[in-house]
Amino acid sequence: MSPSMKKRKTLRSVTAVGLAVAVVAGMSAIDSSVSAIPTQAPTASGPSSGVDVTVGETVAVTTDQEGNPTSLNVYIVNGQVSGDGSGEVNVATGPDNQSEPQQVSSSPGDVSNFLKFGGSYKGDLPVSVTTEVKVDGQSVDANEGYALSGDVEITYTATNNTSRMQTITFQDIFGETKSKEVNIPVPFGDSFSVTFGDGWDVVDTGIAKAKTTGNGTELAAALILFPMIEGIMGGTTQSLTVKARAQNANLPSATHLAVPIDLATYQGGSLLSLAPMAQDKIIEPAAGVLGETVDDVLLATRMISGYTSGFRKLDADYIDPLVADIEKLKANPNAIARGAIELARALNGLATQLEGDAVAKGEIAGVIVSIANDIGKDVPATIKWLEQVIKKVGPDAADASKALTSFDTMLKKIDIADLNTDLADVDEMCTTVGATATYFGGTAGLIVGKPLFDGAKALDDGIAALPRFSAERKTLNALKTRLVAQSKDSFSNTLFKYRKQLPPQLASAGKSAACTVVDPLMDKAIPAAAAIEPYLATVSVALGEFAKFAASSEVEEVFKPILGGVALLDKTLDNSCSNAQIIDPIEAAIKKYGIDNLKTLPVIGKLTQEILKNCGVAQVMEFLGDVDLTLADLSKEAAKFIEGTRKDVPLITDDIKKVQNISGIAGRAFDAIPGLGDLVVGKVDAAVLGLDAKGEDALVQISDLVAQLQASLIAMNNRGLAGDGAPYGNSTLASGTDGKISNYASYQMTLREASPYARSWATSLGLAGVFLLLALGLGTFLYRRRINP
Amino acid sequence: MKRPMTIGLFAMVIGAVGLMLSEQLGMSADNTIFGVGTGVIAAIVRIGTPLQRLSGFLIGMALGTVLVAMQLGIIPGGANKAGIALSLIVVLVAVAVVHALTARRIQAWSMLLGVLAMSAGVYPALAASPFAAAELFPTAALTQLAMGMIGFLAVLPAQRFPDQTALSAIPQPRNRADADIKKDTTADGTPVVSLDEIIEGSR
Repeated sequence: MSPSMKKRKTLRSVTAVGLAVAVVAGMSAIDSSVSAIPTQAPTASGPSSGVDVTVGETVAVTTDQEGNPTSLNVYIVNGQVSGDGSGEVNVATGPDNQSEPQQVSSSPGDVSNFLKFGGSYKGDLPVSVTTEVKVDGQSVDANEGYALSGDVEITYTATNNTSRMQTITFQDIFGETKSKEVNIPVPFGDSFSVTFGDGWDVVDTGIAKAKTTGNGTELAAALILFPMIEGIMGGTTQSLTVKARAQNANLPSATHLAVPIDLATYQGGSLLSLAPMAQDKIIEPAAGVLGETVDDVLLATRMISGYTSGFRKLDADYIDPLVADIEKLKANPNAIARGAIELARALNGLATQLEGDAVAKGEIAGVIVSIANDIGKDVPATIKWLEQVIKKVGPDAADASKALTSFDTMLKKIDIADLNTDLADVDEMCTTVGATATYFGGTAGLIVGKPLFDGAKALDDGIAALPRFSAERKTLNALKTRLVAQSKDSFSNTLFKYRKQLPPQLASAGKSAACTVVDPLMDKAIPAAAAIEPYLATVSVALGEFAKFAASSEVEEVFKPILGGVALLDKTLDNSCSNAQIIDPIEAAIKKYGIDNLKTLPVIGKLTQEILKNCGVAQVMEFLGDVDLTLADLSKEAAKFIEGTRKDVPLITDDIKKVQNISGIAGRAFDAIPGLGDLVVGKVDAAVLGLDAKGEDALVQISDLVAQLQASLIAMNNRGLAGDGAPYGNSTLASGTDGKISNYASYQMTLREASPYARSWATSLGLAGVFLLLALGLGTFLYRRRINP
Repeated sequence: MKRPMTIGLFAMVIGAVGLMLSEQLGMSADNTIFGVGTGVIAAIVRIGTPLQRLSGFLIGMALGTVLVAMQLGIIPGGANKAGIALSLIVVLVAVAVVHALTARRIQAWSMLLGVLAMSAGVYPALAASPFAAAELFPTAALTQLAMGMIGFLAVLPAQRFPDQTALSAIPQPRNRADADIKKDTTADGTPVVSLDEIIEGSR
């Protein structure tokens, strides 16, 4: 062995021994202080029997900037024992199920600790980390990221490598069990931190939160290393990018703290209760206990601090105060609750952080959870929309996310004050004319040669019944021409305009922009519309009676209120009903808040229901061949016509006598429409809320997706609980030992600062040797020949 | 005039080599200047032979390693100021012992220069990465040594010149008598005795 190798070996030995001594010394110091202060058992609850053991495994690894582990890695196990009893714990200490027995005992009120130093961790890290660097747009090897100057873009990436194919089972909405093979990782969270010190000016922190400290700009971010909602929130590979200006600076040391997350305690367990919410609470939501998560953090913090206490310089500003705080908590049990609250707040912050892009993704997550809550209750439009979203999540998640963000942004542009004003107008209108408000709009107008219905047909029939060159026929033809022209400038055009305003990503979702209920409901609407027919016949009879009445001497007296009503109707129709500015915001509000929420709002609840009815009726009427449009427009024109010819009432009366169909048209406009609307509203509402046919398909599809998502999350969580994410697996209570045991794991991966000294020391040894010999040789040579004055 | 120019020319060439090398090695300007500076001091302080000075420098670096390792937490004892102070005392005692054991051939200043090179040159470069310090340490220390030797070589011609004129363009005395006068008296003619002479006289 060469002298240099001996030196190196010696140095490493000294380092290893020093490391071990430091760790043990540090842990001993903490352990002894913990043991010396009687504390309340943190996880004991109620009258427990047996020991309560908490075991934490910690792996601390130093890597280079590219994530390659160096020889510096440490594995330690520590545990905390409380409760009442004694026994033995099989503590995992190595790969291949290696374990060591650990005697434990505790009496009520006591908390004791144990520590095992396991040397180097011999397994594969479940989470790998990398760093990519660009300087002035040019890629630079991260390990050569020292003495950097210029605009630097650093991308830190963490990858969860624990995925494996696994079959999951879930129940569909009918209670049938389905199975599917999917990738299931252990749910890891990664708490990332880095401090940019001298020579750095951080320009863009990306998703990280920044804090200025005495050492520079400290960035912290939490990465969700499992697909919480595929493509939208979380994923097995997550990155964050930091942009900064550097002046002769090195890539700083950074830390990834990866911890398997117990989803039952994360965000109140809501992740594991998606499907229960969606399936009428078939499965009870998992209870979320924040306190357990707090314990996790305390434990992990203590373990890490124990390790790092040997390195006096490491994280002195972070870990040490935290340890001090924990010690204070132990000294004052009453403060534990307050500390827990503080930590709970911090965890809430962490949860917020975990949402990544807080604005876009948070909104999306909120919408999805809200929709999951509403499944089975919401209007088909919302379900149809969600269906589009979920479909996009799989194959093209990024676009879906972008689309959702755009859509959400669009919804946010709606001025609630304006909306309420419009709704008030509609309320007034609806109060005045009831469901008549539905009879506007239309799609194609009257089409020559196409069979006509109701009013339009009646008009044609009336025209046909008149002599070919009579003045009356000419008048009605002119009326028909106006009706056709007006029907073309109808509600449908406004709908189309609205649809055009949708962001391009929502083109498919916005197919039926204003009333997306149409498509899935048509099948149900047809029979509903058919039910109108007999009523129309009755109305026709009633109108016949009206015609007789109109021909009587009292007609002029009767006309007065009728004309007043027509004028009001006309005004209302002109001002509001055909105005997409009313319908569009209402439609948008329904999508934004969900129909159930809208219904509960005091101001607009009633109006929402009215609008829903009206919207549904309008669609039915469209399907029936623009009858609503015809009637609505006809009513206006009839009013104008009647009003304009008021002085010729006797003539009109005479015409009405002659052309009974005209009286039918007018009669429907005046009297039949509200009744007709009410009848249709009932049918349509039943169709809308029942979701019997096409809506049900969407519901099933969505339910499956939600249930599958939940099953995946539960499978992930089970992997974590089974110890798949632990370095050497879970520790267990030995047979015969009464009590319970909890296992935690954490991996601290410290990216060492990029340094020119990270290269092989052989080069430096060669240079130093050569220059030393030169200095020595030449120096001695010249010195011996120095000039003596 | 010739000597300073010779030294300057040599320093320029070797210095350029050193800068180029430090650039290739990715060293910061601070470390380069400090490393070269320690070598320059070892070269121009003409007490002892180059072998004695460089040996002292290397011994000092070795002693400095202990201090640095302690400060970085690689070996225990650096967790508090008392530990550092104690280790510093131990280093100073070791310097004195070496100085004495080598019959003062290896001067204390050269060893302290080596300690300085380690604790003020290497330590700051590793303090930011305490986890990796042990791994980075050999390269950092050897690079520091290489830079020091470049500094030594940069002013190498100084070894050939008389001690008091190594870096000076002051004309040489014409004869020994003048030299003695200039050496032993101040400007007003007051006799002076150098510290070395006092030490020599006490032996």
